[in-house]
Amino acid sequence: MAILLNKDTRVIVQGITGREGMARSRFMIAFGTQVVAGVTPGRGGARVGTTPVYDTVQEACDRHGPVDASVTFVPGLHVKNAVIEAVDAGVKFIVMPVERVPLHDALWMLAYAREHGTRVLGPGSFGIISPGQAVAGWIGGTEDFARAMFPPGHVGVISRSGGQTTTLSWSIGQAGLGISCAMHIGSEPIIGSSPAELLPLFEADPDTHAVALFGEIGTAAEEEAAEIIAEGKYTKPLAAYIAGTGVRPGMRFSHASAIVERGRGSAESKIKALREAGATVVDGPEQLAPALAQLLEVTS
Amino acid sequence: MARLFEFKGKELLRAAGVATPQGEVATTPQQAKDAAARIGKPVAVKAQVWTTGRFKAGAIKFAQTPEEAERHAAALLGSDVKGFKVETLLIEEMIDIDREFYAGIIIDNSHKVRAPVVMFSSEGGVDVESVAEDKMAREVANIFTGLTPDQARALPRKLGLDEALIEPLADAILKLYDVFRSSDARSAEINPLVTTKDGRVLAADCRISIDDASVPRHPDLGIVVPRESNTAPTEMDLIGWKIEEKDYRGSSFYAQMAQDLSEGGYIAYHAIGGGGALLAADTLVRQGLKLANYAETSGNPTAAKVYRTARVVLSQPGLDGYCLMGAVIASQDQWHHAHGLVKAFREMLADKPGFPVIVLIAGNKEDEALAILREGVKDLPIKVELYDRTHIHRLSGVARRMKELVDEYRATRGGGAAETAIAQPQPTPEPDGAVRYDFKTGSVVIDAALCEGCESLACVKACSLYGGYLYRVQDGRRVLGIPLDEVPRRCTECCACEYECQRRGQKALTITLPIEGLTHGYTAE
Repeated sequence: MAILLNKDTRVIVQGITGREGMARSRFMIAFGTQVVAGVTPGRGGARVGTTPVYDTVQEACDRHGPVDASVTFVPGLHVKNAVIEAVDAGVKFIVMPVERVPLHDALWMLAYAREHGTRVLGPGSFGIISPGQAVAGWIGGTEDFARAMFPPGHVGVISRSGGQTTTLSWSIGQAGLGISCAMHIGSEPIIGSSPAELLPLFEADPDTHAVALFGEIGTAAEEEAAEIIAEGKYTKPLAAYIAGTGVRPGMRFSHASAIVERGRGSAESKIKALREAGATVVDGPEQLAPALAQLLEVTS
Repeated sequence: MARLFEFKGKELLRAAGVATPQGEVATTPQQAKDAAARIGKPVAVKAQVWTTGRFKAGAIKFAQTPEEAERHAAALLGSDVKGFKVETLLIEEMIDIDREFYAGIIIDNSHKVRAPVVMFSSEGGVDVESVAEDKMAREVANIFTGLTPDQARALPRKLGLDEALIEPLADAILKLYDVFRSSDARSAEINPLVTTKDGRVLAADCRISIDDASVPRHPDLGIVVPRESNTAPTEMDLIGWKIEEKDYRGSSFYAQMAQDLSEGGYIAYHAIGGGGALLAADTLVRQGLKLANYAETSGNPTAAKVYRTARVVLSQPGLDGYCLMGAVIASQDQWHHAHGLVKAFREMLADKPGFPVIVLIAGNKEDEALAILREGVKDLPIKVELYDRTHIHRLSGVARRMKELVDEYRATRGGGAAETAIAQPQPTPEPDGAVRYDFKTGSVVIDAALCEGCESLACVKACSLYGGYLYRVQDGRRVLGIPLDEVPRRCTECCACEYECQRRGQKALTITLPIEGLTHGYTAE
């Protein structure tokens, strides 16, 4: 099962002829993802490996439809048009690994996608992986590595940090558990899928028995996830860690979203909200996997 | 966020039709005096620094005469306001304020909103977060259609303001929204937005932050380093930014944290991956180490970019160690990091016996990366320790080890400031018969005479395994396998050809990667 992406999901890669598009589509196919076509304006008729390339998303959909998802390996300054094209062609799920997307472009395309019922993971998402089935984006890297880092199982992983998605999944595997589906939601200031929107999907997935959340200071993402739990829209066990507790308010590095502002978004506020909703919040990332093991033992 | 100074923000507001007090920019006391004379009224002398509470901090002074303005300017220029050095002043007419309001636009990233939110308060001039809820009106703008005039009027109306004020305030709010959109702002605030006793509506102060990713679209704003920082960029920050500015492959981030390392005990900090990078930095600081900088290379950067970042980091004079914390299982191919690091270590640390270097690297091609590092530095006199992914969740042990190595190094080299050589990488000499290929950000020079009789063909193999398949073998020799003009597009700047030629080949191949700006002062004696 997994959520959003599985072995039957038909995927196109926008920007497939670029450095990353080429390398990542090869890897995605090796892992089992059904990459049915690629799109690069002006390169229609070419092939990347055995994957045919088209000038437009519409053309790719006409020849290889239905298309369920698109992965956009398009530079940030141009990704808005790529998204509009995919949405107009009826693609309902877009994985957007690209970083440094102009903020107003991101606002515009996320609103456009939402209006047309398209879900966007990202911008700035490392990707999503359903072990044993499919992967979309950067996450995993190579086939062997991805298989070693993401053993199949029943824990969903939602991470606000790209690399920690893999680190956390690996440590869950080390604890004798496995992953139903893991994803990085993106590190840009505004993103299309927040934990509050993803938790209900894991709720509906019979293969997911618990979720691990790697949170981060800044924004109200964890507070809103806690609201979803309180509203009964997610009832399975949740174990969370909030990174950045040691960071001084106002101190920011390259993680654009890691900002503490207006009292909201502090580690304390997130930890309190999650605990009050009944989630388990641990003090260190290494404690997440043992906490999950314990939670699953209790529920089973 | 790239913050704009008050004077720059007011230029944008004026261009959009929002009135501001009459004012001029001054960078010397004389200019301040002349500006005050031209304004011909009592003036405010306002230090241009990125901080709030300037009045309380003494950064805004009032002057009745041009001479007084000159004296205030002389005192303010060069002074320090909350950690910011004052380099520019805004000389502005003093205004007779009747009422103070607040108007601001931020982006609400809640999943329920994801849109610009326009806020208006009848309590301007104070910290907006401390304003009571019933004194703050909000409207969510539709990104497609923008803030409507009705919404703009609703904002002051909700607070029960005088009908006569509604139109002029709504007009200023609409124009602020135009500035927010047209300048790709992350936030735009006028605080206070004032009405004067003579009936004008003026933006008395403003704070506008431009979205970093949008800065390339606004060259007119003159933003040098489009990154959030509490201070103006240092010389080293600018050098670090140059690495990133023109090379979009992966990301390199550099921020100087301390400029004077002469008390000793500072290490260069270089991380991979934002989340783990902060954790690891915290861990090092908890062990009593001092960070000279914060640097990060993530998102699958080229080896050339990693090299440049490491070289800039190692160019900070006075270091007592270098620590790379890749405290994350990265999806990127880590062997590129290894090649970039080896090149930087070999060029910068060959004459530094005992210099502590710790590298924790994990992720795709982790074992290969560690092997490259181990072999690449084995003949250097430095003290290197390598760690793999089993240490990601045992960071404090690694940090403790770093502290021990730094203490040992300081004890052997004697106290005081450590010396560091810093200079531009020198171009490789091109002997007769040398072959030179220019790629996007540098060049490779091959001394073809040395290639004679090479049986390893190490460069060809390296380029096939790590790079862009530029070479092929013809009659037992390396030849370029693609047209010369395709080299810049095809070369992935993996730097593996140099590494392999130096180790398994005839030491014929050298790569030069210039670093813009890294030319100043500290030369190796």
